[in-house]
Amino acid sequence: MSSSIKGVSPRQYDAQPAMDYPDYRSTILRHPKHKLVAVPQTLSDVTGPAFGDMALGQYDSDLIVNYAEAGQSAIGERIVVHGQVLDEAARPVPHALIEVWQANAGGRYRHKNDSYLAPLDPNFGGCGRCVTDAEGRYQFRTIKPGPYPWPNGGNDWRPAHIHFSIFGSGFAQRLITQMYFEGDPHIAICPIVQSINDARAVDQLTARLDMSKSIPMDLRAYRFDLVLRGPSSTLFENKLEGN
Amino acid sequence: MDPLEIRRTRPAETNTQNPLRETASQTAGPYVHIGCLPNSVGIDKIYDNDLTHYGAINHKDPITIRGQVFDGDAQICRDVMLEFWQPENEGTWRRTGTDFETGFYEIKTSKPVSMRDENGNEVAPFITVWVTARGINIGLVTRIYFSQVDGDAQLELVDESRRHTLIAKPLDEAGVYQFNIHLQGDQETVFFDI
Repeated sequence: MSSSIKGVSPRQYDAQPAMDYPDYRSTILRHPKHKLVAVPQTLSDVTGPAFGDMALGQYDSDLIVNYAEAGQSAIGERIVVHGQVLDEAARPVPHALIEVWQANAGGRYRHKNDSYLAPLDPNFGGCGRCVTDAEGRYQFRTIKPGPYPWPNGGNDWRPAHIHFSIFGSGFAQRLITQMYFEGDPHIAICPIVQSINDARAVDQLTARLDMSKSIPMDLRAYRFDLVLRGPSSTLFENKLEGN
Repeated sequence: MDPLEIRRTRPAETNTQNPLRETASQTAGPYVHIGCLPNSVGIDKIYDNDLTHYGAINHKDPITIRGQVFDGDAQICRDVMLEFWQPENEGTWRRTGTDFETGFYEIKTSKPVSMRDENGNEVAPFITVWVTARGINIGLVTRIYFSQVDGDAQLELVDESRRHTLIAKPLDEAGVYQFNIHLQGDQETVFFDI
């Protein structure tokens, strides 16, 4: 099944990270040196896969227990991350698939290429997924990930973060990003974050403690809203040839 | 004129009619597999079938596409996630990663059909490709074209000397194509702003 939007507004690159940002060493050989070629949008850009009807497992959005042995749970600060997915016109994006992944409470990923000293948590896998509801709302239960050092030529530590992958209604809205936590001093000194030369855009990646959704004696809530590219003023007839 | 200059066809449209701004992208990082390709790193306990298993194979005009991704030093990138989208019929979406050892990816899909752009022009058939990895701050969009692209209004916007980077190369095996992606370097693939 596919979904669609009438046209997607142009991406505003001033609020996006630089593709070539040498302080984040991996970008040096992995950014295109030619400028992106702007082309008129086609049906392939304004349609995308639809996951609204996908069968999800009961614990897909509960990282506290979705890898744990029966009766066990992941070690770490118990939190719920919730928010709303909107487009730039402030319209909710319903039925959007969100996938998340993260390190455990000690800053270690369950991945064969991660050899950090911190131990794996046998009860924590580190991934989850959900689909937004009719109002574009989502939520995950998880543990707060730890900061960790990474090879970037110096003494670099990532702020605690959760990776987000989001599908909108059109493939041009496809987004992968990272959510940070309010008050983390590493945000200001992380080259990956600072590749975005726009304080407001960085602030938009920073989840806020939300005591209104915290559950007494159980977990604290963080709110993180996401905005996907909005509708463009250009409308066009969605029509395929030879079909 | 700078040969690398974008030849824009769109007016410099502003986005001021919209009250919110798109959330900034961040790199998918080296551990994108955990969230998007968990089965490839041995995480089978959460979803036994991850999205690499998504969607029925469309048997109409089936094709296989395989290739590798290279960085600016022509080194093979072995930590890339790729997604492919074609809107025809019910839509065909594929996700895969480059192999941790060989760097090859491979997808099975069906040959795309032509469609129209926002100006009503018919455009040559292509498959949209989205490339993310460590070191890629914003997912890169490219396209796989096949033959018969002469005079295509969209490809006319691409410098002629670079168009070949968008065209899949048929291999000896019937229905199998090679499409390599060069993130940078002499053979840098054309990436689009859509």
